[in-house]
Amino acid sequence: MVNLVIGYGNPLRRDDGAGWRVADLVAARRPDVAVRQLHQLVPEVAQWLSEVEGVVVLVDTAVSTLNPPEPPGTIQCQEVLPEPLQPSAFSHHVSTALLLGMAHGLYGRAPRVFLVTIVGGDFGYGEGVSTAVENALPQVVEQVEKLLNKKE
Amino acid sequence: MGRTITIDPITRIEGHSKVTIQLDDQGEVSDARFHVTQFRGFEKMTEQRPFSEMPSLTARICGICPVSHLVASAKACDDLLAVTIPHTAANLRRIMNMAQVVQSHALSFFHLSSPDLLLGMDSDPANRNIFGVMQAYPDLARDGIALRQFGQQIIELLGGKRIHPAWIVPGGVSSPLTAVHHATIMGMIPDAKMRIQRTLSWYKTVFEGFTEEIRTFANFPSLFMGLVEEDGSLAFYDGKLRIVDAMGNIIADGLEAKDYRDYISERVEPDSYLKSPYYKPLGPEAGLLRVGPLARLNIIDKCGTPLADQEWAEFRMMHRGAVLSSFHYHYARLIEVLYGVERIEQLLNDPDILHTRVRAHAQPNRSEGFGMSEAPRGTLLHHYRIDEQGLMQWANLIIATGYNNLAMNKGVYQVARHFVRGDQIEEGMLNRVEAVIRTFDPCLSCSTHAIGQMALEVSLVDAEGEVLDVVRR
Repeated sequence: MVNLVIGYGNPLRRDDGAGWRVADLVAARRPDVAVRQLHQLVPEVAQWLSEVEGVVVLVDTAVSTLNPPEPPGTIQCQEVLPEPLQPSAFSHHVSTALLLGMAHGLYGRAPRVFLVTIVGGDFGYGEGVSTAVENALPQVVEQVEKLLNKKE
Repeated sequence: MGRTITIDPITRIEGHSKVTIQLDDQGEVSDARFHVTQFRGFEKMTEQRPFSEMPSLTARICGICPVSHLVASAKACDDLLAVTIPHTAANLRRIMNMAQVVQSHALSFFHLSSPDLLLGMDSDPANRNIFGVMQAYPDLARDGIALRQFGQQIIELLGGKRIHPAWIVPGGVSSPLTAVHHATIMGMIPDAKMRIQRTLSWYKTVFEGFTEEIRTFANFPSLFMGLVEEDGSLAFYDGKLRIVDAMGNIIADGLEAKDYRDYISERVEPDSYLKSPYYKPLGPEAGLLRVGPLARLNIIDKCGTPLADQEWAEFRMMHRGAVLSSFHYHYARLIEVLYGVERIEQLLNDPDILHTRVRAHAQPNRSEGFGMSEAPRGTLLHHYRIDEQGLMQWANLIIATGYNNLAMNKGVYQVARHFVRGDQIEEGMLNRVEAVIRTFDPCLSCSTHAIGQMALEVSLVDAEGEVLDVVRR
């Protein structure tokens, strides 16, 4: 596949499902892009990454770690750098950097990977994202499309 | 003064639990208990919901084996509707069920247990995980990822998503298999078959090195239970229950889901949310059951697919009568992965597999329904009662991991007796206590219908009740 967008999170926990919404929106606009939705990153994603010839964009929601916290709907973007395969006591969680390292280590190749993080404010039970995150979605999609063009 | 060791939490299993090891005045292990410390209560939560929601609701019990609950629940709903679902729908459900067995077994073997087998029970715990395996044995890690992906991708192709697909519904499935997806899955079969055969070949060269673990990992006489087809072959979707004893003698056969209360009782333990079902006619001691891959391979007359049948014959040659050591759950699991890949291929070759009639429609025609199937970890039963409006009045779910609870407790005791020395918890001992539980691949989220994190605690307690040592992960 040329380009891949993965939206991940729990769509039953409000803003945590924003990645899934972005994935849906990108799929509707860009039929040339492979799109996937996941609850969490899992080891087999490393295999998918190794098969991408272009760019991978991961879209996640997170709580702001800054003090004072950034408002919900804030968008962060960073390129993911591979982390070498190394021991971890907890195999239920795989970081983006480790996945890229796994793609390199196990399959011998990995694409450029970008992580777009949307700051969420409501992670309670329920479907649908908060108004602040909803309002940010067009900008997130625009950002994802810019990243997809990085190698094109 | 006796003492107690507590291991809390248990790692590399699906759920949250702890182990307590009691020492007597001489410092010898006098008792060991496996406690499941999470609770959710789905049976209560689903009361007053429309019965048609049950497959989707109960699938939420677990993120690893949601398809098992979909299947058992949908079968219970079929029973409420009093319909026979279309032949094609039954086969499509079978394909999804087998895909889940493959992915769940791959997760258990490669991600959770292979670090012990490849890197050693006494190796550094910081490396003893799937990432350590990736570093040291990348070929095997790739096979594990590919086999799990094989199962997950089939679930996604059939159900539209890999976790909690709402495709299995009362009366059948919601959409037929397309020719494109049929071809895609068929194209994946040879690679999956090659990878599991390679893994089996490798495993057979290494498992005999674990002599001490084979001898002590829940290695005792018990009953074994699972579904079999009419011809005695492996059954995951339907069939009837068979129970064999340690010598391999069939002591009960042709048991039906609707009669389960005649042959199964559930014991409640004061220190665990996990119930302990057993074979009622023999009581909790003599009626201790094991279910899951080891049990299934012990009760059948054949697997029913060519390559798995060859492996099964070799497997059964290991022991006269039933294979008793729970260490061999790993071996049985791999044979079932091979069977799963072959069975999916068989089902895809059914001439009607692309037929578009895949759902029977009806209103409820019964007030009570039963659904039984084989989940990756063993026999799963859903039993529902509804009112005139089709609203759930009562539910009982008997989960595979529960059946294995008595055996897991006995296995923890056996391992502790053999490996625990003194009043400190050493890493190799701790890992072996966990590893015997891991052989069963317990799913605690399912068996207590619980919410929780994967974790383990081991406590060492003396005869006065004083905690001498606690290890938490």
